[in-house]
Amino acid sequence: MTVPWLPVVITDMAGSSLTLFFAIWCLVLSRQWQRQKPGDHFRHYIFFLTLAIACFAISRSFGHLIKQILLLGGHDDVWRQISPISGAVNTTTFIVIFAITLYFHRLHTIQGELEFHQKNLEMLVRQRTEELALSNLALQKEITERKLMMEEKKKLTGQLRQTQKMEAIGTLAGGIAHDFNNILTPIIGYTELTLHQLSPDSAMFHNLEQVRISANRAKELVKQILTFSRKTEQQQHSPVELSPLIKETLKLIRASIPSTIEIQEYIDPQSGPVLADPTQIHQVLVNLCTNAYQAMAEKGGVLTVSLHGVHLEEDQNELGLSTGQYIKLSVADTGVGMDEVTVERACEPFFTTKELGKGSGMGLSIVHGIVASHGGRIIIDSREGKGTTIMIYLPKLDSSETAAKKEAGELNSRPVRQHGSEHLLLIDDEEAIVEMQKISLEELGYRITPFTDSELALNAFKEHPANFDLVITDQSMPKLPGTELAAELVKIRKDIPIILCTGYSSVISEERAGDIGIRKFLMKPVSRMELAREIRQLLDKGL
Amino acid sequence: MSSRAQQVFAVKRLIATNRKKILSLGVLPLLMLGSTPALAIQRHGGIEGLAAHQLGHLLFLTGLGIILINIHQRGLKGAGWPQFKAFLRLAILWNILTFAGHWAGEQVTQEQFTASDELAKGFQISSPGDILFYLSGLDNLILTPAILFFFLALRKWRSAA
Repeated sequence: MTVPWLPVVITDMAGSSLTLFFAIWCLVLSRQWQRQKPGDHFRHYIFFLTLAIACFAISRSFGHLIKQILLLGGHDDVWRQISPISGAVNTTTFIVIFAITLYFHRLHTIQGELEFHQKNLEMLVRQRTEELALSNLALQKEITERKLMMEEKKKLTGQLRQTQKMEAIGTLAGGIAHDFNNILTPIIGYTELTLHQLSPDSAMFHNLEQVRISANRAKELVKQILTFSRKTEQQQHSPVELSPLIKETLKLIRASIPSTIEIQEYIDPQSGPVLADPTQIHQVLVNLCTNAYQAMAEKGGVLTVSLHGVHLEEDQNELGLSTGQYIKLSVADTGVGMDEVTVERACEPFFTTKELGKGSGMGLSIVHGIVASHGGRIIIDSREGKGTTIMIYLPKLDSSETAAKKEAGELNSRPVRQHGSEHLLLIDDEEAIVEMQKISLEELGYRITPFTDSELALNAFKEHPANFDLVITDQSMPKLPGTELAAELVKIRKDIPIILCTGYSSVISEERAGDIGIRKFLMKPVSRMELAREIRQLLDKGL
Repeated sequence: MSSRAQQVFAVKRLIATNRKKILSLGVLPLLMLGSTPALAIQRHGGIEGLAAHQLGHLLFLTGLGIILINIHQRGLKGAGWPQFKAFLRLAILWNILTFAGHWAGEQVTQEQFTASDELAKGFQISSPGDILFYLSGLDNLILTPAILFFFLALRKWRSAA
């Protein structure tokens, strides 16, 4: 079969022409593209590849066109000479293209490895970053915890320092009160005695009345100091429902403060009872409200009193109170507030920011003492210019305790007579006091054997123990203190009633006195009425 | 670094990294020296030699194949890449056709070209190799589109840049 050769010639010429045209264009395009981004490796590679392909395409197309023209013109001999050169160029370009491809392949491999390592590195960096972020979080948490612990430590240290300071001030105040009471006792006693002997119309009676009033004021002040230092033993703690007491007190306060101060009450009537002295609680609220009123005196404001029950966990509260139910009494004002230093010193006795004559500096000290003696805690939260909130936590009494305490309270409140004819042994190292009490008790009908030396008194008792119906002794005495004397007396006669009087003592409490046989524990200065009542009560009990 | 310096650096790097391959490829000119003289119908005789040319075709084909595989491996897509792949496929096909055509052309004689004058008017086909030879003469039907696709790929890349 014979096929026409012309199609071969035509496609060869037309195709070669087009190939030639596009190859040259490819070269131009590639060069332009490469120049757009000179640093691009891929563009370099494509340019070299285009160069090689264009060389091949141009040489081939050019060669084929020449071939066809020569063959058509019958110049086979010329073509035979040119043909190998054209073919050799093509072969060379094939080799170059292969070489460029290998280069590209290597570039690709390196790039692949680079990409792999880069990805690996990125992954490692990501992992490490995550680890670092976690470590950072843990570290932040630790730092926060440490900061909190440091703050807690600082707060506790502050609390401890404050407690120790208050304790020291209390001890000092108590010591002063002791001596002061010993001085006041004969002053009051002799004044009362003399007043009793004088006509009420006389000028001397009037003068002595002023002495008695002043002495009583001094006695009240000492009492306040002792209230602060928690050394008073005359508290009548009984179960008290605070809500009616607070409401009643607020009514009184409302009447005494100006209308520019609004009083808001949030009293929970179901807050429950506490074991307290109602008079002292009344005093606490009056003192706090007075302070709040004075803080808002100039501009007015809101006085908020709230009362409700709270449950505190020992490890969750910052008050140092044990786990249990408490009654929280808050008194808040919107007054001038206090700075940190003032807050820290607020409970110190005689510390005041008020002008001379406007405040005694005993208000919060008394509150502090009362609250502490009730087993509670006082917290002061104040900001300058914003106001002050004082929170008081008192232990709540449960129902069984309430019933028992009520019963005991009723027993104590029975009225007693004062006179008697029994034989009393009276011992005090202060002669003036012994003399005054002797006269005072003799006036009530008692027979008195006084001693200023406790050892002599003990000897006298040893000789005739049955002669004495009751012993009244001071605590602080040289040689034989009141407690030791009492112990000796009880050894001799177990049922002898003993009353221990003291100005102040840090070594004896009412509980301990009871343990060693002391029936009654009285704080000086003891009024004649009070002493007479206690004597009568003890003697009547023994009958 | 300037673009000129970068090009020089790229070429130096190409030579340095492919030194062994370039040396081994240097054997090809020796093959060319040992070839036979070209006939009227023999396209790659003389100093070039058919063997060297066929080997060149194989290298060209291999190179294009490597590029195509690399493109597939890297998952290169987007502007220009479909055209470039079309170019590679057509160029590979062209290489196969011309490689076979050269081989078939060895069996073709001058007498198979029937001519009324100096111009060849017809080609006598007497074997499948003759058909292959005739078809390889029409190789521009593949090569021209291939170059056209390469041109299109370059144009796309330039436009996308």
